Amino acid sequence: MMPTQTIKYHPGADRLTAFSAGALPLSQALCISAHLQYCQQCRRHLTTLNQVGSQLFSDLPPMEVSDKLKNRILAQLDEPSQTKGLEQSGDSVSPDSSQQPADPHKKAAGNLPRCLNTLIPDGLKALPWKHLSPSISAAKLCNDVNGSKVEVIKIKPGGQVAAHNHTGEEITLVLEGSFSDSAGVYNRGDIIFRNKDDKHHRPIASQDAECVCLTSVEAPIQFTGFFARLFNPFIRRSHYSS
Amino acid sequence: MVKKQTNITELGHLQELIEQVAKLRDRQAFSSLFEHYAPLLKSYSLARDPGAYLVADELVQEVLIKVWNKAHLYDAGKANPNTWIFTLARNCRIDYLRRNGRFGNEVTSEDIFDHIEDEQSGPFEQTLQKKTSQQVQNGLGKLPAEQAQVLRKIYMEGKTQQEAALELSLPLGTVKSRIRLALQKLEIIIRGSEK
Repeated sequence: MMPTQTIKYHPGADRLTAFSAGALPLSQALCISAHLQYCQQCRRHLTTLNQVGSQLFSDLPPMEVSDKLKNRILAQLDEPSQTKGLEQSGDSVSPDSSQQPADPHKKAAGNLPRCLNTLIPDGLKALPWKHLSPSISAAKLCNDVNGSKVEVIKIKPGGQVAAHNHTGEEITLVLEGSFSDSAGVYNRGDIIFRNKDDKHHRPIASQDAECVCLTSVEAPIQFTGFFARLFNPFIRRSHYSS
Repeated sequence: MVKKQTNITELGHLQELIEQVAKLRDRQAFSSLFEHYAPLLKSYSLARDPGAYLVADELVQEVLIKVWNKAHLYDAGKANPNTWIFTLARNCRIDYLRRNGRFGNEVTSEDIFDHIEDEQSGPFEQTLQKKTSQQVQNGLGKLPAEQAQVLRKIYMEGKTQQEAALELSLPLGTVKSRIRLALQKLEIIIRGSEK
């Protein structure tokens, strides 16, 4: 079980609802899923919200289904590929066999949430890190079809991200260490949301440890300092090129 | 089309059917599950893509094959049969959209949902789950139409909040607040607020 005691920043009710409904862009859903693995409170909320979906589902007007479809499905039950997983697991009564990972507590190396297993198969160290500044590196995990980019950001102890505004929404989830900005201090599992109304967001990693965050950025961020502004075209290009 | 009211007895029966499929590979039990769920699954798919009957049949097929293959993983202590089927359908929909380029391709519904730490499951949780289920069922029937409509758009039609706002010609803030009000009425208290 992952630590849950220090989590102070959660997704809002409407966002968790959209997550439960499967109606969030995957880039956002990934960040929420990572938060859920740290946060028991939100996992409980999710269980309840799934029941809302379940009830709306069972209230749907039933639609007539053809016998042809039924026969097609029944015929598929015999295909070996469909039952392979079951045979391999041996005892079919066992509640947590074949479909689960061999070790249920296997993490993506270190202490990462398991939803990142596919994107970070060999741990943080093996990621293709790129230095953005002396104190910040980033590694891209994936692009969502809505243009969002999912990255892992690493900030050295005491390192500071240049003040920036957001042109779209930025979701940040702390994976390791902690950071702060003018609004608060964020620890492992905390998830925060910033958009274009949040001016001059200026995160600083804590002095005692490196801070690693999962981020999903809807559109490139804008740096607001004079010199930093000169770099903006490059930032935009790198957002879309890679 | 007669609308059926799901009650506890019916849920108990569906649960038995799933267990028979798991333990005995009982095709008759599976057939009964098909009769019950296929019409709902088809309706679920058509709610998002009206008129897309082939897509709907595909979803019905995919979910029910999953029911056959994963019945042994079903845990009544964690979810009642309807909730289990709903989550399977939701995940199939996500993966269908992903395969068709409507979602990022690298991440699957399994990454997002199946790896979330399991909650305790036992008699206490099952009782609690039944209570919540009853509370949600009763509450949904009493929601103001405009709140129920937003919930249906999000859950059944799979709309994002922005899409729902656009379709209903409402500001995004109104959609968000209707969701929150609906949850309050259902007595679902969610403490998290975004910072």
